[in-house]
Amino acid sequence: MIDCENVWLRYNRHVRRSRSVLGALKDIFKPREETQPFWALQDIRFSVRKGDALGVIGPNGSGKSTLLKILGGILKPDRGRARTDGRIFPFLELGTGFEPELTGAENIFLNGSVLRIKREDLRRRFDKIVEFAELQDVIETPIKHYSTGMQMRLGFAIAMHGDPDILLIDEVMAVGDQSFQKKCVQSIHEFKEKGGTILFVSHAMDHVKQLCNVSLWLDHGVQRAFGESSGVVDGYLQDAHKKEMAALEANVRKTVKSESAGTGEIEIREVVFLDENGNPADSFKTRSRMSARIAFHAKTRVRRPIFGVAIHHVDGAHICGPNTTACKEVLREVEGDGAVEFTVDSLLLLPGTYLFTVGIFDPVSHYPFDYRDKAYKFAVDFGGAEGHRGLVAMDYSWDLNPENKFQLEA
Amino acid sequence: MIKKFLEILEYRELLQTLATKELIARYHASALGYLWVLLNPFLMMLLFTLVFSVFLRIQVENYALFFICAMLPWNFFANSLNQGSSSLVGNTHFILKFYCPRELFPLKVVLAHAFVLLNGFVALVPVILYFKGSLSWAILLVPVVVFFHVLFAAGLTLMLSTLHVFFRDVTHLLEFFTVVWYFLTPVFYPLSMVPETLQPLFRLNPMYVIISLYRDILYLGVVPGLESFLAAAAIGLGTLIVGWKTFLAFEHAVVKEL
Repeated sequence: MIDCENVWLRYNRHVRRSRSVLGALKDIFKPREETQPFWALQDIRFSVRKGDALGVIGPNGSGKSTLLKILGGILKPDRGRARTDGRIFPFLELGTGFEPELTGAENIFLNGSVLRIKREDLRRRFDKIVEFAELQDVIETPIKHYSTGMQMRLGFAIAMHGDPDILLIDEVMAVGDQSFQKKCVQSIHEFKEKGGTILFVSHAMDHVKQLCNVSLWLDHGVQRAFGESSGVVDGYLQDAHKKEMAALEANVRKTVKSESAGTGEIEIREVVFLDENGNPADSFKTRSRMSARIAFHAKTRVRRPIFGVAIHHVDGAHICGPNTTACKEVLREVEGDGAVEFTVDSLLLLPGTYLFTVGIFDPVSHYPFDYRDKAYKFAVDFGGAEGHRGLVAMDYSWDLNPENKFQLEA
Repeated sequence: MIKKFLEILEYRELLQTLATKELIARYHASALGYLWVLLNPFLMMLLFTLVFSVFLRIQVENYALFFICAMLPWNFFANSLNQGSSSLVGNTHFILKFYCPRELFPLKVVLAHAFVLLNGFVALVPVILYFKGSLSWAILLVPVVVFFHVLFAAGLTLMLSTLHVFFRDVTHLLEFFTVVWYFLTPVFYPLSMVPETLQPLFRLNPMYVIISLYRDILYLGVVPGLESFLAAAAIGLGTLIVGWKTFLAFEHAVVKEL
């Protein structure tokens, strides 16, 4: 069981503080405001029962590792209380606590005693540990000759054979070779099935969803959400997506100039996006109908103008750029105010922000009368059934059994 | 403190492993290995005997034995302080990754050197036999003195290692200070050579109290008076309590500072 009651933790960020005696003497005569308290964790409260797996998610610097350090007993909260029951194995970094000069075998006993595994237990399980770590041939070699992967394997093997009640895992799955990663994941799952409690810090949301039944979302030391994993993870992803898009847009605004360019015989007055009911909208669902109504003003009589649009993803990918040369008909002549409508029956775009370019061109020279490069934007909403990776939704189908070799099950 | 003491007892296997590791790491790479620890003070003994007994003619009977009886404990003390004071900073990666009582890091250094000291005393037996022809029963009291000496060294090391986290010059200052202390403690000269007016001041030095005990037992072969033992016990326990309290008071701040 893990129980956090209103946990606060403060670091004193030294702007500049001397660690020498002489420097400290000088500092005495300076104003004291140079140390800035900084709350790494603010009012964190959650509780996890035995057998639960808790995913801790959030951007870098949000306090995840600090929380693990508190639960591992390394730091004490400045306010509030953190309680844990049972033997905790911290996995803040695999392979720490190894002594390079000692052999793998000697390190098993050193590391084991750090984790307070009884010496006799270690002796009894020695062979199993070595076998699990796949280090039979090198166990009598000093550990400084091991690769990082080998050290990790040994660290993981020792901990898994020490009967922990609670495992604190900080991004273990990110390292090591594929086959050992699989072994790690497998034994973590087995540990969970046996009723072990897990606290798992990760940036891999798929891993979190798969392994953890509850999740905690931290953001700059503040608890954003705690609860069922799927909800918390989706909330976090949505938020991260929004922020990413906002950052991209800010970037686009800086780099792309969206002024008009052209000879000016026709001027684009307004572009309005319309949803399937013809109402103005700026966000759409994947596979919904989207229209763009392009209002223009022709100062003189212009014959057979060509209208064109382009769609870009905010990150710059050019998705399409249709124009009216593909139409069977043309407008013979325009003068004064007018409008055309560009319609996509089924918008095959995945969630994200898209930029819209509009241009009106001379039919002969193809020179623009008016051209608004990426001047308009619309969004495709997050949360549709299609997932959120990539740009384009396609029509597809699976045939699971084209050769009729296996049996299908509903 | 009692709770902490019980916790350290629970971690005794780790403490033992760490102390052993400390010794192995230090002497692993040299050809004579661990023998160096034992050999070194005896080589010093030969050198000091040559300089002070032959050249300078200090009037002390069996100068070599006189010197080594104090030099072994002094080595233990100075090495514990000098190496133990940087033990928290030196084990930063460890302290930030795993929980264990942080006292283990200064203590492992003190214990490793205490182990060396006990080995030194074993090696001292033939030297005593050579000079005196027989062993006194008083030698059975050596472990008691070592015990109080270890408490004294542990208390100071706990305090100094805490200080070192915040002021990194502590190690350099300490290196110099232990040399000064060495010269002000009657290790290679008898107290009787100090001007009489200064002698009461010299007696206040805790290391003088402790070294006199060793010397009474090993050099003179007599059982020291009870009051000397009580004084050593007070020094040992008092320093340990003050040092440990300091350590505990700053422990949380230390972990954040590392």
